[in-house]
Amino acid sequence: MHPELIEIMRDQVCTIYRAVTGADLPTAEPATSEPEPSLEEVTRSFAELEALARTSPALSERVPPFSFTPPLDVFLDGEDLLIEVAVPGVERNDVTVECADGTLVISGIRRGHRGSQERPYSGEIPYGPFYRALRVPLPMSSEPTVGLDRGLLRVRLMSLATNNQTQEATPSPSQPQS
Amino acid sequence: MTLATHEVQQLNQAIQAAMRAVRSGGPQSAGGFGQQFGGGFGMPGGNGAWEQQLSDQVRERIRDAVRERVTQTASERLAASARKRIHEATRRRLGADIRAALIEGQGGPEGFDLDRVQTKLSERLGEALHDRAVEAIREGAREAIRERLNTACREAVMNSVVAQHLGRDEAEQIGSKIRESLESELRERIAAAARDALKEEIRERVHKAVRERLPEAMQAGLAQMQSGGGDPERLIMVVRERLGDAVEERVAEGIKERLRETVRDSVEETLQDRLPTAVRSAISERLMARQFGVGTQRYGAGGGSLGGQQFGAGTVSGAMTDSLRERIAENFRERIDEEMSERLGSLIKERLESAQRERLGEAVRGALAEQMALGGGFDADQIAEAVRDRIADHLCDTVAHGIRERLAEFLREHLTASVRSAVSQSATRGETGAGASTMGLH
Repeated sequence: MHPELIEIMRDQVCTIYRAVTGADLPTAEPATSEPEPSLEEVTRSFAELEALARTSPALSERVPPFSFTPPLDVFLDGEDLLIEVAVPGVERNDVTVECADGTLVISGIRRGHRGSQERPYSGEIPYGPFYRALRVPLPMSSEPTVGLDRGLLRVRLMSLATNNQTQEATPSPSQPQS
Repeated sequence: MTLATHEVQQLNQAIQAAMRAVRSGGPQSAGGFGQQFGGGFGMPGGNGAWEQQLSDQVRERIRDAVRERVTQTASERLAASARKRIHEATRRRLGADIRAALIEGQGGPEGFDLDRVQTKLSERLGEALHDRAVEAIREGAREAIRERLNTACREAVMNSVVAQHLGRDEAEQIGSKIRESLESELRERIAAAARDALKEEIRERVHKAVRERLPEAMQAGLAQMQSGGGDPERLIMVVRERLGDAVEERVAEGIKERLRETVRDSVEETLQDRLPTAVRSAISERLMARQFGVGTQRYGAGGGSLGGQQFGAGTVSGAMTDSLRERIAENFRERIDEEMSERLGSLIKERLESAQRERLGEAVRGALAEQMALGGGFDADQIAEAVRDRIADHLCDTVAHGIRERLAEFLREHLTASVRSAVSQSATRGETGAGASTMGLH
């Protein structure tokens, strides 16, 4: 689990609580003698809460969806593969892009921005964790170039041929230039 | 980075608190968002507290909006309609009424009696103008209240918490339903109240105007008649001209004053008796429709590992409603085709014959006597006009009354039967209630 996901989950719980009661979530009670739940159990409880909240039309309209699958476009740019993923409101540091065994995995977190004084009125833009996996159709480099501009994540995978040429042309930092 | 145990524990506590809040519908005296809209709003269903809260707020908003927007405008429009009808009726029949009253005034023990003329003229004219005014109010009530009532209901619901909770489309539909429920009730109440309230008012106003203006008008008319070779029509023409505007003005003024309070009382009574049920049932209906998946409402747009869910196949109740509506319409249409025109045709014929039997002879006799008494010879046009004036209103009233009664009876009988038949057909085909699974409701 992403280390900061727990904070975002707590934000979502607070949002649901506010939407239902109109009040802030009470401060956590002191720990009891009961055994501490595992992270897996807490995650399951969170999923149950989410599902329960979605059974109410009134709540569904006011609490934004938690977790999402961002839409993406894939282009062939010359011999390179260019993937554009729509992730508005996401910081570059919150995105992870990995390519292994011919599969490109893009995951990350869109953080909420709600302050404690804000009350949920209508929530449609999803936040929380996102995830996309894409089978790369051609033999490509496993080291993607990633950039984020105006909410669009651009992932470029160079073809193996181009990649090799680039590596050959670029002197190694350990080798002194002549 | 590892997750601290106390963070996980805090999250767990928060989840449990939220879970309890969602399941219980939330505390009723919460602040923040809830406070803004009169308390926290919990889940629909359960003990109905949530629905009750919505209904209470919508009811109060509509009450204020209807009082503010409908009462004054409706009374002004109805007064304008009634005034127009009074003007037409006065122009059309005042001459004939004066002629008849003059004849009756000659029949006193001491010859011509002006008081008797006044009384007879006031009675005839007052009754006729009352009928026309009430008729105008009944006919105009729909238009007078519909637009404003619609706006008042719509805006009240759109600005209430209903629109925030259920969305603007649902709010529109709820506003429309409430308007439908109130409209016919309000219309009937206004028409009935106006009939009672205006009778004495119009009679008094006519009587006063006639008493004040008739002597002077008669003097002017007699002078004109003498200078015109003794033609009684000149007398009638002058009296009509001098009396017409005064009667019209006084009556219209009285109607306007009395209608204001009549409409206000009718609005208050309708809001008192009908509004709570109308609001509650409109909201319940929409909530039920949402719960069972009418339309394409989607709950939870997320698609990730913990994403939202989709509820409702989309058109179950809609399809059921459409099917039932079609079936009822079909059943009803068949019955109308078979019986309605036949029944109404025979009714009109019967009423016309009856009215002619009762009134035509008397009308012809009166018209001839009038001509003889006024010494104007036998003018076919004047006799025709006099006969028409004597029976036209009665014919209209008796036929209209008969049609209204027959229609109400027909609707009671056949609409009920059509609905019952359509519903039982639907049930047989498994389209309602128990048969919901065949429509995709699982």
